[in-house]
Amino acid sequence: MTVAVLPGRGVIGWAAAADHKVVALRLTVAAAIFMLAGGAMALVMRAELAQPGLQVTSTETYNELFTTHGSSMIYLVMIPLALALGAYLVPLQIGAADLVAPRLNLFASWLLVLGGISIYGGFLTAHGAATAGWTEFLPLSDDTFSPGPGTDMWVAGVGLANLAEILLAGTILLTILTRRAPGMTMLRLPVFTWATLVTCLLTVFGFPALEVALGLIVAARHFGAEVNPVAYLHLFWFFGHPAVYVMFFPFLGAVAEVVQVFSGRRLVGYNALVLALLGFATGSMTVWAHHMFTTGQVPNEYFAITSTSLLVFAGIEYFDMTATMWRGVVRMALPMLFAIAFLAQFVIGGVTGVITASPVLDYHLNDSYFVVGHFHYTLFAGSMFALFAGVYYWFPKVTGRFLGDRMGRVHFWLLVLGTNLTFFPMFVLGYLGMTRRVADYPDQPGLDWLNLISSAGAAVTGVAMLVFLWNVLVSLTGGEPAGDDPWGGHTLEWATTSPPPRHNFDSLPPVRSFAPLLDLREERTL
Amino acid sequence: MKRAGLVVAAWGAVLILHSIVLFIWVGVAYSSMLLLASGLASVVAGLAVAWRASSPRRRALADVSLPAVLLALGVFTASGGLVAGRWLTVLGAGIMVVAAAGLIRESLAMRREARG
Repeated sequence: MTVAVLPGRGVIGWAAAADHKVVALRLTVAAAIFMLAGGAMALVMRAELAQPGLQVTSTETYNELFTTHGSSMIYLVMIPLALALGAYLVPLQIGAADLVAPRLNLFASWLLVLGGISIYGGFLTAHGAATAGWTEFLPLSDDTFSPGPGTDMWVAGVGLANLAEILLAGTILLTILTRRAPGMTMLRLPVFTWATLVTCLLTVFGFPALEVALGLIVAARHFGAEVNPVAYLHLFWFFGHPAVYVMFFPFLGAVAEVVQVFSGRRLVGYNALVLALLGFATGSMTVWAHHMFTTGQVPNEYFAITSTSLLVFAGIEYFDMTATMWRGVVRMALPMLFAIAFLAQFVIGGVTGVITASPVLDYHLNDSYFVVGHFHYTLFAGSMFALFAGVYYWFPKVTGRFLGDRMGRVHFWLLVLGTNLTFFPMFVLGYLGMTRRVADYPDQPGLDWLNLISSAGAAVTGVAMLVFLWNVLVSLTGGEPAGDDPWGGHTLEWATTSPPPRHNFDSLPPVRSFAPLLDLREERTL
Repeated sequence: MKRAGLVVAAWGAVLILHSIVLFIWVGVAYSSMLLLASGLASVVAGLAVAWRASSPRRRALADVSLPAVLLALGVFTASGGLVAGRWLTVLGAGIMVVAAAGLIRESLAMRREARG
């Protein structure tokens, strides 16, 4: 039983609200603002690269832009959005009143926002923002190669954001382990909650390595310590590779929920999917050094084997979702469109990942645009589409209104077009030898027109995002009322009002499987 | 609830197994040590949850907490000392102390409320 105390109203009430739903929404709004800023930087970079010899920005500014773009999208957008989705939905899906330690979540949410302000604050300093990429490898980030306070502000900002993410993940994990409703055993957890659980495991037990790595940068910059660059690489990528999956699993979980509901049946192979998620998460902790193949300082064979083996788990997940659709009654609503696009496009990101998991091929492709194409296919063409599937699916629960369908379909098709025009040419560019993180490139056949297509695609993607933003603003005030369970949902969040009350539930239905509301509907029809 | 912690412990045990394989492959190195440390932390955390998880009881929910926001501001200010100097770290530490006092006060109020 729970009792709400210390109520608050107005702006301060919203800023200091500890309710998991408000914390998650605040994080979402902050991440959306950082995404707009990071996206605008991407457009400037693509303008710079549209033709060889252009000088839209100086090379120094270009370095600041790609560093802050990458840092925003990783530390301030995709990871926070993954955790915000969990912070909002997990208590609702497991029948809890709130997350464990609501005030700690509130603290963490502001820490993340302030961390973002610190990273962006670098632009206001004399030397500008950090310039050594979102990875800030040593010795590139020491005070010889990166003088000025911009890098220090980056270190402080990323340190705060990372700490916030560890704390958020810790509370979500503890909530799943200790606050489940009666009947909600571990093997009755919704798939999204399982995906969030493994995400939190990766965050809590992988991300602390980044704090140590940042400490090495501080030691090198302020105390003159001579840091072994390979030690930094190990610590950074021990965080960095699990981070990739933190930006993937919750969105995969969202797609699994969408696929079930819009196929009109429960997920095929639930137990296999749960085992695959756990195996995937374990495996993803053991592959980090594939980012270091070309250093010659790691056992390439071991990390090539572990990296390639992840395909098995991904295959199980794909099989389960395809099999669920196979004999289902598929409804092509907007969430399902985005889910199917995710499944199709993520394959490209995954398969190109297998290519770079081969040390022999990686020697050719390392630090080229092929790698840029690969991770944008996983994060943008993959996770971002899955995120949109989740947004269109849960928006009615959060606001009580639908997102506009017509504008949603315009958003979808523009985004599919823009995404593939932007990122697919990058594979060819990388194969042709175009290196990443450069503001200019030689005027040679192939590079010019492929870059032009990529830049045009980025512009289309930008328009698609504006259409989505407009749709959200219009739907928040004038969207069609949705009711409590507009899609025929399977999980507990659809058993409460839209939006849910402070304590989430007045009463809970019995939980006999991972799809309790579907159980109830099936019982009624018998 | 108690057995749920064992999922985390089991996950940690698999990481330890991986670290042993890696150790056999490369010997003592950053890589095997990192994985071992992470695995051990997971096992300890999982067992701690399994050991400490309590049965459902009456709890108070904080709706609003200004000290929590203030604490974040204090940490942010203190981290600014990396750029501006030690004085800002000291100022941040001061804000954190005030915030911590507020959090303790809130915790006591919530405990009283939960007792009814």
